[in-house]
Amino acid sequence: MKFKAMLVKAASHGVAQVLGVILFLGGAGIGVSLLSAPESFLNYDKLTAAFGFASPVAWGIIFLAASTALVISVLIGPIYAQLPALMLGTVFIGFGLLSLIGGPSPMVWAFVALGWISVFTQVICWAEESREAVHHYQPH
Amino acid sequence: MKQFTITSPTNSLAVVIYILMAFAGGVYTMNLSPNQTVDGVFGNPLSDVWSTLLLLSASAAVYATLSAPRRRDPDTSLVIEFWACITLSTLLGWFEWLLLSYRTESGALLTNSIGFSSIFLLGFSFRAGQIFVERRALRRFRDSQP
Repeated sequence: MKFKAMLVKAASHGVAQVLGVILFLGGAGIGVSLLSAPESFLNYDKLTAAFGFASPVAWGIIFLAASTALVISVLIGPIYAQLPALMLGTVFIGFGLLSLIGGPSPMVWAFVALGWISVFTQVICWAEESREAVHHYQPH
Repeated sequence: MKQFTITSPTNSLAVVIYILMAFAGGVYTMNLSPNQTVDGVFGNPLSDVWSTLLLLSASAAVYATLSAPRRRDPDTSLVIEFWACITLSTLLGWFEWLLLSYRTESGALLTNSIGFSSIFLLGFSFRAGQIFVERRALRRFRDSQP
């Protein structure tokens, strides 16, 4: 209960928006880099497995789309950002875990960490939705 | 007052076609298809751009359609589905435009691909028009409410 109260407090203080903007900068930065300079990623041996699954351009578009969806939805209202946050988290964690096949590296753990931050953002957005539902509840 | 119906949550044909499109996009994005037409028509890396956008827009349409019954406000779902349909039509139009100038080594036009993409393009354009009409009806209905 204490943890939920902490989440609700974080949600009402705009933590989700701040995390959403940080995740957008991270996701969009990675997306644009993958689109504009795929060679620099392809030369990195540890990421071979992830690029065997989909090309750098495809990953770039997915990162860019997911992070843009997150920042737009989180700025409109955290209650709308649950799915985009979860999607971006899945993309980060998926990319990190696929890269793990090529061997652990700091870059892999950075992706997984960003993924967990996205999942945490989704939890805060869920707490915000619960708070709004309680706030709008009118007892008869 | 004229009655209106929001068809998004009930249009199962549209959902099946969106799922098929998302599947096709996923297959081409992961290079799992033995058919090389898309790669041949677009060339690299545009084929990846096209297939990823197909996957994302069709997935957004599936999400919008399936989540519509749970929403308090169906307008959000209609907006997402409308723009997904416009994106899908544009992507298929782009594919068809390039297909018309693309010939295989034997010199034959890919008639089947042109036929299928034309049918889907018309279908998505029709669906976008249908959603546009539904949104307008929904807006008028709201305006008429006291």
